[in-house]
Amino acid sequence: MYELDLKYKPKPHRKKLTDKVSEALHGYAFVAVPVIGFLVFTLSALGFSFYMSFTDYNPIKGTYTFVEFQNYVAIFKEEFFRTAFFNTVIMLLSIPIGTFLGLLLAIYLKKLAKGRIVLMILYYLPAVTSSIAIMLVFRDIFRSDGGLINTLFGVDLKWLGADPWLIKIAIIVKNVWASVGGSMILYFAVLTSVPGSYYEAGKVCGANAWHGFVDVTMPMTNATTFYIITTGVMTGLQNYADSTVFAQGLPGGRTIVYYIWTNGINSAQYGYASAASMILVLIILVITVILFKFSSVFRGQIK
Amino acid sequence: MSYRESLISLNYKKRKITDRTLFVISTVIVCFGAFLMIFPYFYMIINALKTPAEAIAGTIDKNFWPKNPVWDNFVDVFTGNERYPLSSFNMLDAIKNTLIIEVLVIPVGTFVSTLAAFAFAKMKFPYKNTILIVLLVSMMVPYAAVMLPQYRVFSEMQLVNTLWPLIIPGFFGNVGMMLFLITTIRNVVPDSLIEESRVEGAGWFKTFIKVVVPLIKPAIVAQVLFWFVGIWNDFFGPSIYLTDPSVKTVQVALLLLNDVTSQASIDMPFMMAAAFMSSLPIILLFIALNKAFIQSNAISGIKG
Repeated sequence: MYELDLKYKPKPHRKKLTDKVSEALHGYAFVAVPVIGFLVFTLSALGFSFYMSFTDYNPIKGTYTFVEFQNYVAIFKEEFFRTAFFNTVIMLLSIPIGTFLGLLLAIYLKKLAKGRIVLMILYYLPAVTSSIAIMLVFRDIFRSDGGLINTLFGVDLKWLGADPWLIKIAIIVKNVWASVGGSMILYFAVLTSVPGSYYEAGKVCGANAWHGFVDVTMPMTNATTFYIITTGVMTGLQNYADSTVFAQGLPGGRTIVYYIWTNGINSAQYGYASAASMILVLIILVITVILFKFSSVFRGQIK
Repeated sequence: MSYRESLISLNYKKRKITDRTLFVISTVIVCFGAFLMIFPYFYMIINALKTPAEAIAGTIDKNFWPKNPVWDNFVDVFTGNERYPLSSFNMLDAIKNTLIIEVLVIPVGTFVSTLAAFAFAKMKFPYKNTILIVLLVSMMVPYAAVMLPQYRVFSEMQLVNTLWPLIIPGFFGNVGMMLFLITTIRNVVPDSLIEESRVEGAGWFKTFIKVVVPLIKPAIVAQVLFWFVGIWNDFFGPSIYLTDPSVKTVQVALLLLNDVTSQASIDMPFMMAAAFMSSLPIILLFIALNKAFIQSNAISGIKG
């Protein structure tokens, strides 16, 4: 058919060719700004960090020599980096807890006839509140002498003190509180798209609530669970505010990004900071690859 | 009714009863949870009404309620008090600085992101998908990995302690917003409309403005809302670049009140009032436009 067009109407076809070129040029022009932004702010900066992670760069003097993998070896020998790494991983615990509670809430909300939107607003409120305001309040709630948590449970624990576990528990509790609403909203959207007949069918066959959950809800929400967990882990790995504001730099609350910030901007161990940031990139890269590989598998289940 | 059928119906009735008990129990738990959700906000308010001494002595069993509620703090956070004169903490300036960033970044960034989203969704050009994937992957790069070089460049340019390091990157758009709008444009704008506009002689840009933008306006508004809240609550970037009190944005200004290194103790009621007042605009915005917030959050999750 195209051939025929060519024979009988040569002019419009030629016009089409220039049209294609013009479309392509316009397309490039339209995407140019974000691409330039990527090249300037992400790629070149990442390249610089990568290069500097193999040097002993001193930003004040501006001098550096090539040290190969020494920074990478050194930071793993360093107590500060090892605790920061460990702390970051432990603090990720808030993600599965918050996700699971969000799922239970969404299942409940689906059954609710009235007042759903009010509950949604209340549970989602922390997601739009500044994390700094939240931290300032929770610091007072977890305060040691006469703080709310201590008085309520009749204990006298120094949550915001030197103990490496108490501070992490406080951070996890706070982050679960803040993240339940977000996963609730995501789960609710998916659950409302699950036909109620699936559960009815299950019930007639003698399935109880638990089986309905395991056999219908879980497979239907796998993709969402996967999405919430992976994105949660990616943001959790970049946790910085909890270290600097909530834990005020206490060793028990230091994270990888806190390490990068301290060494890179504050005390100018630039090579160490760059090496740590490259390790962070590597971890997130691996998670991203897993996300891309498996999300299609999970999505396939839904369809 | 056969034996089997009656068994099923019996089973069904029994289950109805346990279902109801389960529902009542979960209602109690969920309502308690909702109480826990708003409690910290409530706690902010009642502590802001106390005197500093009362706030420190206050626990759940004694001095929980302020004896003589003082409402001054909610005004003082804007006008200053003896402990924090305007020269050391100025909430209005902080709000002004935050709004400068919002007003400069959001219109430019939204335009850039929407235009790019249109090109990725509806136009044909070589290596389109490769470019898109590269931008997608760039979204995964942690800020911590690009922060140090960016800081070096901005400090070479003498831009530390100005708002520019927080504004300039925003001019290049927001990949998250772009990604969301690509899906929206693909779902909402039919190809035929674009072809029609092209046949009528409109250029690509005119087609974008006249045909695409009006159709995706609700999605753009929702994304702008999210971005607005994101900039308002942003902490990491401002904490690196803004150390001088006069240029601080809302979140980093709040931390001036929590300076545990200084000799004087923290003015807890004042800090709670400041934390509450700084969150209030966003809370009101969210309550007023809750559907837009909740829906766009839900959609971004499903598409992800």
